[in-house]
Amino acid sequence: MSNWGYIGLAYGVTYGVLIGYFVGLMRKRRQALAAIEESGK
Amino acid sequence: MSFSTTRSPSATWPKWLTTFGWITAILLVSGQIYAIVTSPPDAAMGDLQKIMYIHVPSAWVAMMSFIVVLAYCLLYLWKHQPKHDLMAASAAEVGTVFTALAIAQGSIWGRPTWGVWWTWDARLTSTAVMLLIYAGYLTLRSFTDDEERRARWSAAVGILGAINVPIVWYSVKWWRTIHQLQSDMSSISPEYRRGWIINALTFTVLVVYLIVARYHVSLLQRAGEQHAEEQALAVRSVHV
Repeated sequence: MSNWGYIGLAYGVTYGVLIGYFVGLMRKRRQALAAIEESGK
Repeated sequence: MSFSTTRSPSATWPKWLTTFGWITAILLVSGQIYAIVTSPPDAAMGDLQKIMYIHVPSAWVAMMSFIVVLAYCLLYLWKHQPKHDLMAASAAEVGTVFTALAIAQGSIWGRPTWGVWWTWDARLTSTAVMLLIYAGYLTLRSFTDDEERRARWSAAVGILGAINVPIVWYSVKWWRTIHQLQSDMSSISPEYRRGWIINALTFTVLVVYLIVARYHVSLLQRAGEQHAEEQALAVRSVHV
């Protein structure tokens, strides 16, 4: 693998994990808000 | 901040947090592009040096997160307020993500520079131990539903686990390691210094945002669970 291949892999892993974590966090937020909304009805 | 069973103002998603998120994203992308574009290839490792702009800040904010865990664990044991436990857990989760990232980035960087993906070097091993400690901390939290017991056990692990943080930091000085000494203002060449500082700062902003966002999600989850419990109790009392 070329140097840029390793660089792409490192940045790809980093942003893949960070975006995945953030998306998961926002999903948990939506679910929690929905649960609060549902119980308030 | 109280944890009453009524819908508290804390169990909402603050608007400023969304704005903070956008500012963080813009700072992060700008900082990364600036460092990648402006840094010349290193004399020894060429363009591989660009991994520094994610690896060093990730390792730095991971350790910073565990200092936050220590602070909030101590606060919990002192004040016995659940919000401190939730903040410690949020910081532990975010810190675990960045520790795993630092290990993965280091491994990818190590392959072309050292010739191996992994070696039992003092810095790498102590970082892996740090990852295991905080993964253990998060696993421990799922062992009991009793909030107070969970917070107390977690606080003990969070405080004991923090002992490893200075070991990780000083490992490159205390032992002969293949890993280089941590960079500082005097050891880093001027052409890399600005990108390094900018990304250290943007990752710090990112980790603060993620910890605070995780904390607010925890508050929402907790409020949702309390509402569900109230409803279940109300239904039961109607049937009785």
